[in-house]
Amino acid sequence: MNAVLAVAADYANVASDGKLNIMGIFQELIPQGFPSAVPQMYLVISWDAGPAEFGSQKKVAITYIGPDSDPEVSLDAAIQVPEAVRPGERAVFHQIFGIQGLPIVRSGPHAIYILSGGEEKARIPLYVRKPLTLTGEEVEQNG
Amino acid sequence: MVKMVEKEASAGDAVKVRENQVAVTGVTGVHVESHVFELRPKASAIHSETFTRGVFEDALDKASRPVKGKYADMLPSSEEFIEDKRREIELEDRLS
Repeated sequence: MNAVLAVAADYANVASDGKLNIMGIFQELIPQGFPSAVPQMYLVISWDAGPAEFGSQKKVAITYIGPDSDPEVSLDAAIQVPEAVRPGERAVFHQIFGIQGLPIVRSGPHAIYILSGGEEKARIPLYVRKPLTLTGEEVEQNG
Repeated sequence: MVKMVEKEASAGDAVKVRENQVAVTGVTGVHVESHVFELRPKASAIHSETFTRGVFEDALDKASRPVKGKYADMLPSSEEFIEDKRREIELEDRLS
């Protein structure tokens, strides 16, 4: 099973006709200060699996790692590989994680690692910028 | 050990949705939901529109503050975006 698409986004859903909608894909976060949290984000993964894997259960692990390489948050889920829409084809299916409160405690390079069966299948880099600070001139302009 | 959850919902004739149980470790205060969307065999084409303007604007409101994506600040609001696009189209029509 392979991850053919993996992104972090502001919103995602799947329409009734099977189309995957993703809005606001991002690779950077701009907190207002530390500690902070992402109030709502979506992690979207499109999986692709071959006929030998149809019907099997897979462990999916998501690990959010900061600049010091220590896992900050880990998610574990189990999924069942569906069959392909048509015989002879590979199955493509979408997994959407709705995540509330992802912590942001420091700036620098972060990443979300996606693993299946203990192997890394995709990596989503997320760079956390330093909080924005206003200059004296900007403070005057903004009151 | 995370168990499979047999909670299924139909998102339409062409799609089956499974809700997954998710175990969160490392911090408290993180809430996660996971859904797997799979196409049903012999899927029929349904052209209903579920990604509506309301969904779009709700998502903007939920995701914009206090943390934004890289390009989120380029769209102050969907109204302004739509107005900008309308102006661009009018300008292109005048030039062509």
